[in-house]
Amino acid sequence: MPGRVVVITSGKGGVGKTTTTANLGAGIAMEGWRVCLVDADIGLRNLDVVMGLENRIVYDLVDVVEGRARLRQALIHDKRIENLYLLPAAQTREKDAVSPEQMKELTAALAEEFDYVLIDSPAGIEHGFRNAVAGADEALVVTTPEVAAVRDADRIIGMLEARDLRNPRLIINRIRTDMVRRGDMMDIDDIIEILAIELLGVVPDDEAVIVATNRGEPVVLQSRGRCAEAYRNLVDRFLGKDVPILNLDGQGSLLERIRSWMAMGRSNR
Amino acid sequence: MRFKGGKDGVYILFDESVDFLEALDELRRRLGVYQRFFEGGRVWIDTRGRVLSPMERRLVEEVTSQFGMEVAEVGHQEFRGRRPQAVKPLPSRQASRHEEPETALLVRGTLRSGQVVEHEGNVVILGDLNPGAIVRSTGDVIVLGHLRGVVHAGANGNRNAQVWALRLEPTQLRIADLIARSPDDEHGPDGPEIARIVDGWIQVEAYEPGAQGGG
Repeated sequence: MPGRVVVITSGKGGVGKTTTTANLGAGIAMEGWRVCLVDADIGLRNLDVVMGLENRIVYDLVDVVEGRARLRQALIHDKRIENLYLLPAAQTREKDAVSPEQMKELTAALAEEFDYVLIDSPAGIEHGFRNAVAGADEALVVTTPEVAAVRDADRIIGMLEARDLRNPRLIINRIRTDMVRRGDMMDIDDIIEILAIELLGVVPDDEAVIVATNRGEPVVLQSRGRCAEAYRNLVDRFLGKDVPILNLDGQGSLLERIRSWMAMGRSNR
Repeated sequence: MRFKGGKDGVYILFDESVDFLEALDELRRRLGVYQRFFEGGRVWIDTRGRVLSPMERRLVEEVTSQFGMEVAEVGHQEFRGRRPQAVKPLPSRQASRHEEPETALLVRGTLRSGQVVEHEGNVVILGDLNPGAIVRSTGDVIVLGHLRGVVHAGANGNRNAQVWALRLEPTQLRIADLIARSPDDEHGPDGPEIARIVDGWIQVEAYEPGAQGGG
């Protein structure tokens, strides 16, 4: 049975699509599934940098599409995690170097080899977006708790639905519980009310993500830290495990916190 | 700006005293006048000593393609057997021994992510080569700056090709058919270095004036 092709998209730039793709992919691979990350941001590739694999690129997605390399040759194996591969984007080309039909073909070929194919979409709603969603079976929408990001997410959800990518799920990134508590930031309920789609998970705003990203190491690989926890929670829920969304509120009752730790513990077996 | 017809296309000389954008406008105007005549033809463009940035080059190609013409070559020197006006080849004592490519391409300024320079012969960059930028040459590559991107020297299989840089910290280095990448966490010395193939491996050594090269 072919694997699932999942596009990670947002509309707005800078909300954390690439970081989410890297961490979700690494997390799923750590659970033993075969995962391929695809950077669909041709001309502004980043996923390779975030994964720390930039210096191993020889061939890229466009080379495969244009027949200069076979798919196997272009895939970069992430040595830290057994089942994780990356298909990098071309940096020296532009989005129109690839057509949606070619992307469909490519992702279909990858789905034969992998359990999950995660596509990191470029920002925007133009050609690059159309490429990224072309071969997808399902979509994850990333937003931050900002009015502009939520507005763009809403637009993207509409476009996904128009393309028969029904029931996209939402990831809220970079939430700051202290600001939410003061009423200075949109909270999860506000966002869900507007977007009205299923919430997959919530990731706190944390310096650890920036540090890890700059080092080229997905934060989910770390054994501790609330962001690593949040991403593992996201992974579990993505894989269909019945766990609640991580309670990020550090001020929550001790009991609640213990419960969420236990949920984490269970999901880690 | 001068036009010269050739057997299989047209040869255009940019006037070096004119601003690039003005020259581009004039090119557009001239091609418009002769549109029928040039359509489907090939064009050689000589910028007479000016090195076009990748962006400028793209602009030139855009204009010519508007008129249904294919750019055969954009160069900073006169083609077709004329004497090179730009950079002279490096003295062979310093460059690699081999069938020496005739000219060097001089790139003024930093190459940024996504920019590509391809050249038959040697390439000299007066600036940095940032990560995500690529230089492909059939000869040597010399970066008078910080080399952080990807360089492919001797791209046609010339294993004697060398890469020189004031700071050599490439994402990836390729010489002929070999590929090397920088160690993940080590930082090289602050001084200039040279990469070349020794015993079938790409090796990097510090540059000591007078000690290196083919002499």
